[in-house]
Amino acid sequence: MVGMTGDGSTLDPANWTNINERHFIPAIFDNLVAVDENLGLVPGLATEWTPSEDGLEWTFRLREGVLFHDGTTCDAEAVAFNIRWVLDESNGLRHRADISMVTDVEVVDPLTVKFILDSPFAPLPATLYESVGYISSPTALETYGADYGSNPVGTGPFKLVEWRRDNQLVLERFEDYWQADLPRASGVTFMPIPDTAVKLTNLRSGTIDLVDEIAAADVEAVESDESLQVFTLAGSRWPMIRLNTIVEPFDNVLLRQAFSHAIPREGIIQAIYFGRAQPAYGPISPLYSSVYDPDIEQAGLAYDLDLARQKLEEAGMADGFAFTLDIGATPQTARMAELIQASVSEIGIQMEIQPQESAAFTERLRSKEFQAALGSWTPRPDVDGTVYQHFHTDGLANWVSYSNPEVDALLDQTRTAPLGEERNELFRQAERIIANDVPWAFIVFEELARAARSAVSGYEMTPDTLLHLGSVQKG
Amino acid sequence: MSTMEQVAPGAAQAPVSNVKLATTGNRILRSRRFLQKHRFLTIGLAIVLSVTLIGLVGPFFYPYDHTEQDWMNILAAPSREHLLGTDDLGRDELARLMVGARISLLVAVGAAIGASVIGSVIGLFAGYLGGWTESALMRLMDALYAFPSLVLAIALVGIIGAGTWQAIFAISIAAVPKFARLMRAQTLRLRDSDYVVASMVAGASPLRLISRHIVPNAVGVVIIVASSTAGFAVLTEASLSFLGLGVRPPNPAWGSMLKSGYQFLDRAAWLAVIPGFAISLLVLGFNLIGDGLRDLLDPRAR
Amino acid sequence: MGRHIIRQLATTIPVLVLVSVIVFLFAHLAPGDPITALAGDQVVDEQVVARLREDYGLDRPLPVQYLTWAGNAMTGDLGYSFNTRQDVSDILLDRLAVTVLLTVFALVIALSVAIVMGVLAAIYKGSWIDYANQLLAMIGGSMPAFWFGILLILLVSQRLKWLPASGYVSFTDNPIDALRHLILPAITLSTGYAAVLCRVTRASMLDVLHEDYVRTARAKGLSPRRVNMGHAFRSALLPIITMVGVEAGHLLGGAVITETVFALPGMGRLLVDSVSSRDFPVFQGATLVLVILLVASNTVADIAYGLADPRVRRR
Repeated sequence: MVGMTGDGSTLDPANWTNINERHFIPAIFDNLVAVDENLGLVPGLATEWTPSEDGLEWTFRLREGVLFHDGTTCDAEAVAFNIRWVLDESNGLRHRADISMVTDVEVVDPLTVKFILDSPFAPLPATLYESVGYISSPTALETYGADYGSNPVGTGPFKLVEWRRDNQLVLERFEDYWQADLPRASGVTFMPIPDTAVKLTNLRSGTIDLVDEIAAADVEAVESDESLQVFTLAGSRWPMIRLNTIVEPFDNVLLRQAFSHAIPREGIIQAIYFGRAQPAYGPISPLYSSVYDPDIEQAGLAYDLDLARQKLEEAGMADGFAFTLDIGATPQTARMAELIQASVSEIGIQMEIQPQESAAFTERLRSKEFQAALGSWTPRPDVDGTVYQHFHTDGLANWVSYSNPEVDALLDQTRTAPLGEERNELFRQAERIIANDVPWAFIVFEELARAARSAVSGYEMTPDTLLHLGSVQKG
Repeated sequence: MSTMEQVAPGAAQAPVSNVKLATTGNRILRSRRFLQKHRFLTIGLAIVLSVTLIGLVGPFFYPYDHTEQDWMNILAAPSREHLLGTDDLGRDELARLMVGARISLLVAVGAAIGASVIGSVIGLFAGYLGGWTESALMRLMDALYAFPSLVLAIALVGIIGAGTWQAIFAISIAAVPKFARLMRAQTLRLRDSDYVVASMVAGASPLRLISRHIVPNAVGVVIIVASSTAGFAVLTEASLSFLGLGVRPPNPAWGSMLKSGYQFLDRAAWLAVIPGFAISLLVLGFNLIGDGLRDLLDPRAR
Repeated sequence: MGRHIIRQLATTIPVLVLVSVIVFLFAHLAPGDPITALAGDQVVDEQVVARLREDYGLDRPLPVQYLTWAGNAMTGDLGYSFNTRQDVSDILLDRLAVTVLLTVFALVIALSVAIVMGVLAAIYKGSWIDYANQLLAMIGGSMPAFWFGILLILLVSQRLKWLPASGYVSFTDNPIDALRHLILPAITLSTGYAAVLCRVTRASMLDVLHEDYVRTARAKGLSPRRVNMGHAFRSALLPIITMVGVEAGHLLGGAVITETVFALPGMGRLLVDSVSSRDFPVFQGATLVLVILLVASNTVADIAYGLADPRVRRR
């Protein structure tokens, strides 16, 4: 029994919309690639993968003897079918954009697939891990068509029994799973419980065995409870404020910097996260241990009211300025906003907090009508997934209209360069520029805390933050 | 959620010992008897007036500002320094409660006035003009009334956004149908009364009829319903704030205070209990006033 | 009698049409569209967006969309959810079952408590029982439901561990467990309702107790208890029944918050969620169904009253 923060709308991995679905998917599906404890890529359904010299072709070798829940075989044909299905826009799958650079797939032999790209894309395997690499049964895709989201058939450790929306998602063990000794549990049931306090109560009383997330405020209490255990992961999410760079007042970079200087990161860490977070100045989370730049603070945007005042003067706004911050309707975001509001008012910045109903919030964001918006982002297996779409001029999620040719050049290079230290350095360089330009005012890197009853064994926190329940069992 | 139909009861009956007092003819004592007899009304007025007083004047005398954050001292238990403790950002809870009173009162009164005025005008038109106008207006009111009020409020906030005035507007709209129906019934009843018919025959203009005869007679009932609406408004605003769609932060609406208190239920339960208690108290006050007024204007317990 | 019913229905139809128009208007006036509402700040392909809009018929002019939906609705086809692609009718049936169960349970609790308290208060009018009753009714009607619910969870689930704090178990699967999960929410939901009913009961009982025929029965020498239980009570029931019917619809509104606090997959939450995600077909279908139910319950109450009290029928 797993308590979740909410339910999902679809179990189609190429169509996921929220974090809950991202947790459900690894239980039902396997991905071509898998991820190890350092966010490195390891074999999943594919045992190896190699790009061609020019980077326009990727050859994946597949594992043998993998079956879908409906009994059909998972082979190169199946994988090719999946990719073509996603690329076909008449299927209307949201994550088609993730692999927009793939033009076709070729079946070389029953266990080998070749991806054909129109431009080199080094992080292809990592991007597949995000969504499209989860392979579905072609038979099921064809049978259900648009209803596939409610009738998923994958190769994963558990298969679907019943999905009562907003109530329970019931899965049972898939006996013919390709990893012979897994899954250990005979089944998993996900229960959406939107209220964190109620969720914790259920955990304490034993109604549920594992919870996807507990609040920072509760960690201490849960740790000292002997019947419960806690798992933590630093840098699992970063709240930030998007600053619209083409609209006043944040079209002026000095004002963006002044604002960032006035954000009391330490205060936030104490008051909101009870010490369980660290300051953030750029988009690369400490989770990416090989890419994270601990010196980023030197980019000079730490909390410093004098510097903030200085920047204000430079911009000719010594008395401060006013703007509206859009937030969603949750109390956590309101608290963060209130805290920041109090702090920036000390240097004359009047921040109006405007809670928005969720669809209205999204609308304002996408139509770029906002001045500032409080949001957050979570890690993807490759830094590209947390940076490119947001900060590249052509990025599809660049709602702040940030455009810096230097950054563009660096990011483009990261897509063609091979994975390794050189590429990581490119990201760091881009990060330094981004940190200085402040298209997003970064606040902190949160620590994810997950809790389970002590009787639950076999669970390990993975850096992708998702629930992998294959080796988990009760007692 | 108290009933607004005339079926429900109410007054407390005064003990008979006041007979002796009444015979003295002393004005002060007579009004005291009045207060004792109309117990509910008194208590209700007392509650609402004290809340208003505390809300308006309290913050000036109280040393803490309700926006002052103290990050090292969050979720502090009630102590001599902070009489009701501090909230999740270290702000003094009592200070927030007092300022929150202003918001609740503003919304309550605003929505009650808004709904009663708009609703009564509609009802008046419908009752007076009759025919197609009446049918159309009343069907519209029925349609509005058919929505669960909270859902209507949420939907409206979705369109017009969140905030104090938006909340007042949304809640007013949800309460309009009741007033419309009430006013229409009153208008119909009074329109056919001898008084009014005679005046019409005598050549009085419609405006005069309405202002002189219909409105004054209906006012009493409208005020009664208005006070219950005020209570309803406080509850609905609390619900909206609870869902994050009420007044803008950092305004300390009681509903949002309750919501944040709820998140810290195991370490700071008082943060959840106190605002809820305040809400209940204010709503109780308004409901008591409504009931008390009903007894005053219609003493027979029907 | 038949004419009465037909007249009732005749006034209902324009109301339904109006409601459907209002709902439809809202669904399209509010900022944001269903396709991006779900996506949030994530990346979505332009082509996919266009494709989905076409699929959902969102690119057609509003009146056309309305007429298509209304036309289908009349044949029982409420379309399919934008979010989950499920048949709206299926979704509604599932959710309705939950809310109805919750509401009925709450009603039973409210009625039991209210009738007992109200009758006692009327019989012992003026005594401390009466005062206590009125006090409790007042308090019950003033409390915010979610506060009371939270307190219950705190006390009963956390501290005492007697009952589960949330979740829902299907009645058909396991009736006992289902009821266990519904006790706290039902109590929470019933409070405001019980307060109202209690006062109605008291008033109604008081009315009847003063009626001539009751006094006659007393004069005839029947014991007070028989008089109360027998004649008075039965006639006092009528206004209560009417009230139940009238307020039943609004109980559904109270269900929204209760369902949120206790994580029940009912109509209330469905309504709120569909508003946030701009899932128009679900929102429209759900509101329509709710309104129909409300009107139906009003009508049934009216008819019941008419049947029971012959004085009304003659009109």
